[in-house]
Amino acid sequence: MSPAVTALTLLSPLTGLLVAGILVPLLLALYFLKLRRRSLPVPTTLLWKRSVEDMRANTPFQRLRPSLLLVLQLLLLAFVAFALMQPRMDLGAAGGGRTVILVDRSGSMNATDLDARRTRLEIAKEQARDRVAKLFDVGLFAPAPGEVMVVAFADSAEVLQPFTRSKADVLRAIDRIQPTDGASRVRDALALARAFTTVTNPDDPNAKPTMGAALELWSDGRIADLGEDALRPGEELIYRMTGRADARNAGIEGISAERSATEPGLMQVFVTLRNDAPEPIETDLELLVDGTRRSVTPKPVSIPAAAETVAEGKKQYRPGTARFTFPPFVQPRAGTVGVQVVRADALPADNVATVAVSAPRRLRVAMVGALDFAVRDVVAALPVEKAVAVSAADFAAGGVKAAEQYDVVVAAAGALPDALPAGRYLVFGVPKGVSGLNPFATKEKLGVRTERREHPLLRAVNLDDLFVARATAIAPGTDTEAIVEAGETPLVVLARRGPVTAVVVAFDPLDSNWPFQRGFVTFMANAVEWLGAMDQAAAQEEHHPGDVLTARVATGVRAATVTLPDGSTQEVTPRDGAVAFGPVQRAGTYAIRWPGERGEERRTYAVNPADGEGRIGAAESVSIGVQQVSGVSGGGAALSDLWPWALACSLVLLVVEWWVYHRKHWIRRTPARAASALPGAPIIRGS
Amino acid sequence: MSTYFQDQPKPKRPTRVDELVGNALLAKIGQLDIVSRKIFSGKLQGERRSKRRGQSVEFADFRPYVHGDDLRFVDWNIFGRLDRLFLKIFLEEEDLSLVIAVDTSGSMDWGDPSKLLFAQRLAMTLGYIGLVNHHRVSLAAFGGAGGLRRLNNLRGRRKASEMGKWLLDLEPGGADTFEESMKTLALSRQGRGVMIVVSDFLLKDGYEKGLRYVAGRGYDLWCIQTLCPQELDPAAHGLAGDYRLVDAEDRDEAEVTASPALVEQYRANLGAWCAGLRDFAIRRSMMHLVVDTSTEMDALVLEWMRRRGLVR
Repeated sequence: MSPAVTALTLLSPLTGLLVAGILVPLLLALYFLKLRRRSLPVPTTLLWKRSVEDMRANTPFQRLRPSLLLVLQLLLLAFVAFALMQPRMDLGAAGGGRTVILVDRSGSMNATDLDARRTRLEIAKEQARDRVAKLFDVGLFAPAPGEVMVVAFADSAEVLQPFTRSKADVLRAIDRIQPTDGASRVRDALALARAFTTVTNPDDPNAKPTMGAALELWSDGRIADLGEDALRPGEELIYRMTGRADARNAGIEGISAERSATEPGLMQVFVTLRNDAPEPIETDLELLVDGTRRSVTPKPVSIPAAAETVAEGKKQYRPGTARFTFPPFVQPRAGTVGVQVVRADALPADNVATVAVSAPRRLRVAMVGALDFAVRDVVAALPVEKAVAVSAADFAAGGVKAAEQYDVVVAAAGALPDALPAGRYLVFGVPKGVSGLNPFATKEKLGVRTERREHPLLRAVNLDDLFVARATAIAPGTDTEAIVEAGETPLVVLARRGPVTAVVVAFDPLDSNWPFQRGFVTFMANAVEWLGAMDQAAAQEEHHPGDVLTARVATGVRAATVTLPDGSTQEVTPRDGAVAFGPVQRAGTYAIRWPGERGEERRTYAVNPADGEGRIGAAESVSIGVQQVSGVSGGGAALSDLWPWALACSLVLLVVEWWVYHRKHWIRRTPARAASALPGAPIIRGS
Repeated sequence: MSTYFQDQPKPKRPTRVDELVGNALLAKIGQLDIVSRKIFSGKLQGERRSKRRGQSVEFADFRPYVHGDDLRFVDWNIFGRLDRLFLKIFLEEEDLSLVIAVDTSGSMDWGDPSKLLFAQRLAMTLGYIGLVNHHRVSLAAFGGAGGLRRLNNLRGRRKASEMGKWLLDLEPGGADTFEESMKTLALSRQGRGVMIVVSDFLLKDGYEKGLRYVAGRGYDLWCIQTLCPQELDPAAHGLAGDYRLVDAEDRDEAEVTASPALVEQYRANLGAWCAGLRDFAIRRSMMHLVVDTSTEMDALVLEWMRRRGLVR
């Protein structure tokens, strides 16, 4: 038996039994009346047979005579045909079961293509409120209101209201939905909804959980992971299309800012522009520094049109993109650098992208312990402010303060204390102070099997020819990131333990051929730069809604203040020398401030809208699993099946038709016609 | 309303002659006589004019005397005036042969009043008229259980009882033998006269062949088609709904739904059937009458048949 059959639910079995109990015997009785022919002797069947043949042998088409039976039968057929079409209509009917209201609050729902003064999300909330009002209306077609749940989702899902029969609670939950600039991901929302809709029978541990709910999705349909899911038995997805399919948008896909390596006071800004319109557009760009317009592009930037291509039988959408680099400009201070598209469209949020830049500062690097010459020479050659060799004893004696003096500590594993002070470390060998590495043996003759080429540590690093003669085999825990792995053990891992971040190289470079390769130098530079930049608000790390903003603060800092893009502030409490805030919901500039030794310290974060939200043209249908669900406009519709009513009408018509038919043939007590017995003939007629 | 369609018991059949024709009707029809549109020669001297010149008192014509003529019929007055012999010619009065053929097939034993009963009463009435006028009355029953049955050469009022008993003894039923019976009657004709066929003429094999045997063979032929009210207008007598109609003669079945349209079609076909018989009769100098069995015998004989010229 298929799951769909087991999930069959009879919403009103009593009504069905009542109708069947009345109509079926009545119909059968009528059929019995019809089928039982009475035997009647007649003088001759000659004329009767001839009459029947005459009736049948008439031409196939004859003049249509008005007949009540004909009208009734036509009506009956019309109702049956209507029922077969499975009509649905907004009758304000509550489903009687469970309804999950899923509201997309991603960045694209902030578009104002439907109404210039209201965003899609505001319209969706209004429609959802109307829908809830109808779901809780009790009328002829809704004997009892069902339960309603409210879930809002973007990067993550949030249950704003578990299943309830309280209309007021549901409406309040809908009102609490706030917009975000995040991406559309519905998987968490579906998982949450299913967690509530799955009902298990506690009395019967062997019973299968029963599920079933109508999922009403208010969205523009641009949901990245909807196709990866599938409807389960009993579930029904109603996609309430919110937005126009032909809505067009152009915006900034990405932004980055870099200081010149030779002149740190000079900064360059790079932007990637995106066009979702089917025709190319041209737009001016403004460069904003701390919110003030610094420059404008000398001529409009052209962005090609978006296109849909068909590859391997599937349509692939490719937005038009263009890259633009602003000329270097002097920015000796920390601050925010932004780019604005000077062009009005339905989604203003992605017309501005901002990055926070720190003041130009060179790194201070400490070399702790007996590092081999290869490491020492490479570190000394890096463009850092200073690279100081510190003995293991001095580093251990300095404790936390010693670590705070340096941005990056390059150390041999044996030179580090058992309890590592907060800081960022590049360690050769396996240090005891980093938990979760679990060294267990020494492995020899290792080659690289896998590597995470996309990681900043391995940028432009080729490890194909790396051969390691001897390395410490470790079994890192799940919270440790393996960057380079040999067959039997990771060779380079990244471990984060609160305020401690360590890049651990599990072998001595001199036990390998790495120092003789160009990739070693590049790796060292990447590691020092990446570890050092972790503390800076450098533009290299771009934030998006859903991210958690963190800042490293000195131990002893009790409170920090977060300034949100709208100017409001929130107090947060640092823990273990770090401040964490988020996940952030809206795009814009965030700032974390905390008291430091030299006065108030501040770190600025630029949060830009999520990728992929720039395509705001609403999808006319969505795919969930293999099922295609067409969007319905408006949110007030409470679709009810009309086919049972049509079927009931046809049954009633059938009974009426039978009644009329038999009434025509009831024996009427009419006086016998004595005269003119034959057509046109007297009672006695002769030649 | 007739109740024949309501499956009620058939009406009781008469057992006495006076149930066939009452005394009141006998008194009325005692003065009537059967009229033949043709003048036939009879076998015995009777009360009817014959084609042959004879010895009656009714003068017909003169003709010149030829050798061998009976001198008793010479008109001597004319001889005295003209001195030429002329013979007086008188119309001879002879008896008339009246043959009444009654259909006793199964289809006649149906209707309220029954067609067979009506035919018996009609045969008794006409036969009585024939008897009282000293005609040679012969009766025949065809289509019944015993095939063709005959009662020949009755004359005089005294034979009325015998004729009535013979009619009462007729048993309905059996298959249609119309053609064979008519052929037999035509071949065994005794003299010329009037032949009256009383039947419903609802014959599956058709009436044409049978009637051709007796038409124009010395008979002044009358076809009296008896139909009961239930046949004439079934809807008015309760025929509605779904039926399995069973033929009274051959047990043939027909499943019908007696809708108004079908009944109307039946009536049209019945009308066409009767019209066909009437046309057939006109072409062969026969007389045709359609008679509703609910018609009073007085009215039928004294008015309609007198008006149509069968009796006077």
